[in-house]
Amino acid sequence: MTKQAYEKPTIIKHTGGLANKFGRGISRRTLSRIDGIPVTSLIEEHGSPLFVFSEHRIRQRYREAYRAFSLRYPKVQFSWSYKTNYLDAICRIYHDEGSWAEVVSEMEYEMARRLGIPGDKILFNGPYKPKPALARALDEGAKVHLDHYEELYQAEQIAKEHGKKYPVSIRVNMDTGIHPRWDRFGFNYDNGEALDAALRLHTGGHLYLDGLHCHIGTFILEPDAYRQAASKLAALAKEVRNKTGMPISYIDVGGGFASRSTLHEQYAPGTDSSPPIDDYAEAVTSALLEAGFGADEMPTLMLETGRALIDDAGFMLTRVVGNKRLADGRRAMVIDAGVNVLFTSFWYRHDVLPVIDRGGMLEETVVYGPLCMNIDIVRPSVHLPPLEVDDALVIRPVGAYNVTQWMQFIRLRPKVVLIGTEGQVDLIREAETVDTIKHLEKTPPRLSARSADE
Amino acid sequence: MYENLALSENGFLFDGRTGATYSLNKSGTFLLKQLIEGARPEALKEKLIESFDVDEATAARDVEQFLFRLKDLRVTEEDEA
Ligand SMILES: Cc1ncc(COP(=O)(O)O)c(C=O)c1O
Repeated sequence: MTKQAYEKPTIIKHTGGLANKFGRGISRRTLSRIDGIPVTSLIEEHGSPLFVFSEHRIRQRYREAYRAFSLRYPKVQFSWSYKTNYLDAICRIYHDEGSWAEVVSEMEYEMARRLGIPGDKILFNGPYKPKPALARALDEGAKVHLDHYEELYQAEQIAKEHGKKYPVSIRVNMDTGIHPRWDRFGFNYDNGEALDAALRLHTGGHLYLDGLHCHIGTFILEPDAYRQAASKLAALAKEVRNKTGMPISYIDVGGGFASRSTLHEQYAPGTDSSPPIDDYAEAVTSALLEAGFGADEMPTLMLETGRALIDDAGFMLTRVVGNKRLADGRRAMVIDAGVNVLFTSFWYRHDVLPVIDRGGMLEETVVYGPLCMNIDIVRPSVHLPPLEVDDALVIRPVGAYNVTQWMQFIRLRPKVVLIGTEGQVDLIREAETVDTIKHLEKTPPRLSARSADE
Repeated sequence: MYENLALSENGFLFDGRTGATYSLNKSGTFLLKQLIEGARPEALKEKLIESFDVDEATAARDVEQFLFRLKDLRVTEEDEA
């Protein structure tokens, strides 16, 4: 007698009705290859956990976005948001596609300069620009976006010291009908503060207004908020033009378009509920075109899109290290990648896909990371088939913010590889070692004299 | 001990005592059916190996965990007399 194929014996109690557990909407999905490369071979060669980026997807998303805006508006310039992902290889792909750099600290500014980006192709944002960094940026012709009056005075002071007149821009915040309202950055539009700052800047005689910037938030699901933002900035630009006689050269609507990720509180997956980039493009460009700028005074439209460009180009490969049954009966699983490297798990319901599915019942599972910390939950609930220790899983989309916000906590950070457009697999960041962490430390001699085993 | 359990061929289980319903997979259905038909828990490992393509260590581990799970869900709980 031939034996039946084996699968670990399972019993699942029905709660809240059968339809919930086994109803439509819970599908069996696997992901065994990324850009044609088998996930198992990537893990065999580089170990797990492993971050994988797809150059093909990065370029494809960028081109889609650029096309969406440039088909609708004559002058469009993207600047890559460094904080979203500042691995050199990744930034170089965006720069190769024609993107400038958008930075929010002197550290990021230096990263962009080291990649050969000239100052005049760097947008410098953020509420804190130390004076030497501000002076350098102004001197190198960077597009400096002033956040508050103190910074405006400091820029003026630097211009005086350098005996120059610098172009600067201001960051503007405003009501665009969405919550939370990010009013902590920049000058407020609705109460007239932004106009005041723009005029004040001209009267000093050392600065002049080059552009207007806003960044209304992140993961904004309402394209209409961008219509409002763009039309308010356009109105402000025209008012400044009327009062000073000087046109501004660009309007920067920042970043914040939703990626295809899914927020924990969202019902439908982000692939269904996030608006396509064309909707954002239509909202922004129609507002600018309707503003009635003279043909020779059309401002350049700047964009600082981050997550929407890179999120689904990033994957985390991980393996099962243990299966568990919690005291309340729920199935749980420990994997080798946790919130230390998947910071975005706190906000997003990432896809967790087995590489192979040997059949067996899907069961609601809590997916825990490897940290000895209660907060280390990668997915509070996901339906997974039975999996054994060492089985591989792919978590996506994780391209945005994870390789910048990751924490060196408890475990070392893993390797990052890039799959090239020809299928090459290149290591773009080595795994950390204990030395990576410890080489910055110094032990006072009085503490290093005695070792523990004496 | 198992009179209250109604187990179908395709793994649907109804517990008449509690009203609870469950789904079992193939091997789970097989094991519970053995128990209902009077097999002793100690004999389950051998029966599993006879019918399924599984090695002894895995069978031993899985049977142990499955029995624990049945108790945990109170499917095999003995009535307090
Ligand atoms: C000023 C600025 N520009 C651009 C971005 C990129 O935003 P996103 O990744 O939501 O597109 C951010 C992120 O918070 C930002 O603060």
